[in-house]
This record gives sequence, C-alpha cells and structure tokens, in this order.
Amino acid sequence: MDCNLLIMPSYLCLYSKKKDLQSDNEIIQLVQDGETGKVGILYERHKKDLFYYFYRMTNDKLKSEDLVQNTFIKVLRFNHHYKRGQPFNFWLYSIARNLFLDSVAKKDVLKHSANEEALYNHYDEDQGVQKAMEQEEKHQILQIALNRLDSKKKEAIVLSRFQGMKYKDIAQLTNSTETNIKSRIRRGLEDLKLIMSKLELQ
Amino acid sequence: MENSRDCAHAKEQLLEEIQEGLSENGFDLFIEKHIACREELISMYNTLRQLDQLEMVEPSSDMDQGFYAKLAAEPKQKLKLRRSTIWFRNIAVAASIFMVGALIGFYLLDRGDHEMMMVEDDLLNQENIVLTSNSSMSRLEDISEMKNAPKLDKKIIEALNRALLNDPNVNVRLSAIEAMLHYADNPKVRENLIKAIPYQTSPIIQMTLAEVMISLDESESKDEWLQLFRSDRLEDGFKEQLEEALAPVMKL
Repeated sequence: MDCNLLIMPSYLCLYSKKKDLQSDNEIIQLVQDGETGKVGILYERHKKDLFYYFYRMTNDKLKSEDLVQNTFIKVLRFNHHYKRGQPFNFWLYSIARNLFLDSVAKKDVLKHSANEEALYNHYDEDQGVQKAMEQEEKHQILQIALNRLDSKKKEAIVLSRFQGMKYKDIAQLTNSTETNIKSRIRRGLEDLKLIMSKLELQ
Repeated sequence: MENSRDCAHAKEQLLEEIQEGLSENGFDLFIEKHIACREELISMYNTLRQLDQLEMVEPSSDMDQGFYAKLAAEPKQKLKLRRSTIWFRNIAVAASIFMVGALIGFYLLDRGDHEMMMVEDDLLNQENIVLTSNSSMSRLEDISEMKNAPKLDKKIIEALNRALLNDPNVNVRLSAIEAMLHYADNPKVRENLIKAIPYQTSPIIQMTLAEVMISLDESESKDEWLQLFRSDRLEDGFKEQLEEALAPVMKL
C-alpha cells in the first residue's frame, strides 16, 4: 500500500505496516471466544489513531484519552455485537463516534480551548521571536477555526483527512450519502478559510 | 465559463481526485481544466495542505495506565480452553497420518524402496528449535506450527518458553502463551508459564498470564506473582487491579 500522506494521512498507512500480524478480525474473534486480554492488542494497534480522532474532535487531551480507554472497554463489553466478517475498523469507529456524541450531549467540548486562550493573551515581542510565533499562531488559528466549525462538517473533514476514511465509509458511519459527505467537506473547507480570515484580522 | 455553482462541483471533483491519489502534476492539469475556478481550487487545496501540517498532540502514558487499570477491573470470563477440541483434532490428525503412513508403507514395501520414509516439517526436525527469523510473522508461523505439532516434545517446550521469555514482539509472546495453554496439561509447560511471570514487563502479557492462571486455578503461581508485585515491572495503578483480579489464585 502506497503511503501518500496527502491521501491517507495516518490510519491506512499504519494499518498497512501492521498487516503482517494477526488481523484485527481474528483478534476480536479470540476476544469473543473468551480471550479478553487480547483487547489489549487491539488497543495497542488503534489507540493513537483513535486518540487523534478524538483530539481533533474535542481539542481536549484528557477527554480524548478517556474516550479512547472507554472505546476499548466497550469493545470488550460488547464484543458479542461484532459480526464476523464485518470490518473491525468500521465497528470500532461506530463505537468511538457514539461515545463522542454522548460526550458532546453531556457537555459542549467544542466551546473552549487552551489554544484559544493562548491566542487571545498573546502580545508581540521582539522581531526574532515574532517569526516563530507567527507560524505557531497560524497553527493555533487553524485549530481554533477547526473547533468553531459546524460539528458535521468538522467530523467529515476529520474522518477523511486525518483518519484516512473513504467518503463511502464516512457516509455509512454517519448515516449519510457520499454526495452529502463531499459537499460537507467542501463547505467545511470554505468555512474554515473564512473563520481563519476573521481570526487573522483580530 | 464556470460559475460559482460549477466551482462547487469542481471542488468536490477535486476532493475525489485527491482521495484517489492526485499528484502535484495532476493538480496542475486539473486547474488548467477548470481555469475559471482556479483561485478557489488553489485556496481549497492550500487549506487541505495547512490541515496536514497541523501539529498533533500525543497521548500521555497515563492513557495506557488508565486503560489497563479499567481492563483489569472488568469482570473476568473463563477462557475457553480448547484442549479438548485439540485432542479430538489430534486424534483425527493422528488417524489420518496412520492411514497415510500405512498406505505409503504398503507401497514402499511393495516396491522395496526405502528412500522415502516420512515427510516431516523442517522446523520440528531441528535438534533445537530456535526462532531466529527477523520477521515477527515468521516467528508467529513457527509458533503456530509448534502448536499444531502432532506430538509435544522437549524441543517444543523449550522453544515456546524461550519465545515467552525473550521474544521482543508482544504478539509473538502472546502466541507463545496461547500455544503453551494448548499444552497446559503438561506439567513442564505449566511450570514454564508460572516461572515466566516475574520477568514480564508488558501489561498485556501480565494480564494474559493472570487470566491463564485464573482459568487453570493455578495456586502454584502465588510466589511468582508476589515476586512480580515486589519488582518495578508493574505500571502504577495496574498493580492494585492485577492484585484484585488475582485474588482467587492468591487465596488458594
């Protein structure tokens, strides 16, 4: 599998490097057979990708770590719901997404961020520091813009861009259509640009 | 000339092309084809590139500790020991080997030809089985072969034990435990499983060995667990959970 990071940022590339080991589907079946400790292998394989997904969605490190842990505990508790032959990754993201949506329902995790604080408290210093700060500031602005994006558009961008999912898989995961997903990503990117321009003017 | 509606269509087309692996040259060609939307397409492409450069925060080690603590706190399921089915399968395999052997024997006797005696696997024929392959996949295959060997012997017991104690890959070590579990009715295999406990540093391996010991009701492992608890090989927070999970074994 060709790891072109512009097309498949992290998940698929990592997966291709791990394919020489026992497959996820085989491992989850062992978990179903009672070898519950093997959830640990699935955790080790997917913890980082899932963390990145949650972090992009919440911009909250502690919350993301908690969500990753809980996703795999759910994998263990509800392993009997996994249907043999079903792509494990799709099942995993269904659990992760539901946990994320539950957490959003309890508290708006998108409202506040430490990055935003840092940006607003920022003041200019000498020119040498200025350049490095500009780059840092650009990243902060982009992260803030991403946080301010409508949640559905943001989800489509995160799943396609950072998690490397195909549009048809995102459509299936979110109960939508491929056309809607493409449209959401396109409009999300347009909004992102607009929000960034506004933030840069502040 | 494309209008803004067409540009929306061109942008979505570009998104599709990018997902299919559009190269830099391909992007330039795409722009040429949609010259009226040039600025918008470049702007979107740049936004995507900026997203790719966004720095990523890494999870802390607390995440692992928290997960393994939660995992250890989950109610334990009895492992489905497959020894009984393995016996059944081994009998079937042995019967097949006997039949094939008998047929070959009659054939050879008939021909007076003693060249071809038995086709056995190279790995199992070695004096000492040493898993030296650099590929974890090969070592996993070797372990699988040992697990399915028609007869357990000293070489296999030793090789599995070495894999559990020394292999750098956690999946190989887990497979070694799994293979040893299939031979758990052998006292030496059980002894090796127990003796390996104090030397494990991976929480997955520690957890799996705990599950094996609980399933086997192995009270003989008590001293080895105590040795592990006294060492610094356990992650903070995980120790208490492991102690709790092992309570049935420790009380025996």
